[in-house]
Amino acid sequence: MNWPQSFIKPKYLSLTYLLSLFLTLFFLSCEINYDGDERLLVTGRILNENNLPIPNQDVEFWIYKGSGAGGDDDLISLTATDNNGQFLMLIPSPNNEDGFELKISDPDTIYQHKILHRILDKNFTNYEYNIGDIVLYQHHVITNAYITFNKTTVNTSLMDVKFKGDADYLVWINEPETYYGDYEPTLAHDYYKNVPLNSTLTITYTIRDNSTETLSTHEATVTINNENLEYIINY
Amino acid sequence: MRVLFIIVFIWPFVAFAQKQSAENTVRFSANFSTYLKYDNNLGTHFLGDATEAKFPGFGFQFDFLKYQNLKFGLGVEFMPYDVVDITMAGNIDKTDTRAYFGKFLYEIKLGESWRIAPNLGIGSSIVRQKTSTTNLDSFKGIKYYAGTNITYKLTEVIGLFLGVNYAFAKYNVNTAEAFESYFRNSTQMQILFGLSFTVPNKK
Repeated sequence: MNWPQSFIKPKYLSLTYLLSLFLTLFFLSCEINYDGDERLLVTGRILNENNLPIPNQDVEFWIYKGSGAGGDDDLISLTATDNNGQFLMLIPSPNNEDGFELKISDPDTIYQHKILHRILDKNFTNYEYNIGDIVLYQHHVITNAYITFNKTTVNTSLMDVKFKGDADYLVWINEPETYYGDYEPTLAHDYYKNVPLNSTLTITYTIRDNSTETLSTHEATVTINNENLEYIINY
Repeated sequence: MRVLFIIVFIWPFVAFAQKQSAENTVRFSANFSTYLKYDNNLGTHFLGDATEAKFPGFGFQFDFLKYQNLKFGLGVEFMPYDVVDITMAGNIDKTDTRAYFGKFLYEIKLGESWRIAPNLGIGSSIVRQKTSTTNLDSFKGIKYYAGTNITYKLTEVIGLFLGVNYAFAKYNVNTAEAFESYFRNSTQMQILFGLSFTVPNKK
């Protein structure tokens, strides 16, 4: 019996067809989709180290999904701060994003640039997210602090390191899913921070005693003067 | 929306059909209009503030029912827009509006060649947006029309017409309270210019 060729090898089983279908589905799955009938409002104010508003700072709002070659991101809005340092953006609402990112840069390069990373849906209330005040430091008032956690005791591990008073360009609005402060006990613990001159940097961290399975919270206060600083915390 | 559709599009057939036995009957009377249009947006709202109409838009209307001087027709129109304020609209390449409408026109003859037709209409309006790579979806609403067409008949079949419409739309958009009105309402003065084609009645 002679079966029709199309029955033996249907079109939808051809390698080219399946590959095209796979690639189409793959790229569609990476694409950011939007709800046109939903608009999100993002507002904020940019100040300098003396709490004075900075006008004419470029502000960009990005949406991202995934990362690397399979990821997608959209520059969905851009604006500049007004004379009061305020900015406002209205964007169509994405419906499959991983997060948002706000980028600030100074066209005159007097002030540092800043990235507010991992803004999430949960930060919006009634379609609105007011970021509040964002402080940018002039480049000449920033120095560096190199903080090292030095493990001196067996059976302890370092957790949940947080800094207050730094001037880092990258600010995590929500902590990363895999947080780099959640260390394995054997790893080195180094932090390279931008800090304002003549300021105080407060470091909080938790030490876990693995033998007793107890946690203890600690705080270190570091005084920053006019030069780079190396600071070691033993635990 | 279904109720609206029934009232606007189905009701005229039913209502007028019932009068066919009367002396003044509803009859089929075909008149096509095809036109270029420009939307002049009025007031502060999304379409007028963050975008700008890009001439020409175009439209098509088919009037097919006539009862004495009253006509009823259906139409579709399209208007492309450019985003002029990214802050308010988003970083979007293309915006366009589409509308599907029904209109009642009351035609008044002014001499042999001139016709003036005040009209009222209602329809569905869609604002569609996209970037170069991504379809940003759309938002929809109801659009109301009030206007007048003036037609100069070049022949029994062909006429030139000029139309002016006041159009008000209410869109379904969810956003921050301070900007609800900005996205939900739009008012426009529409200018239409085109040709109308009338299918002569059989004697």
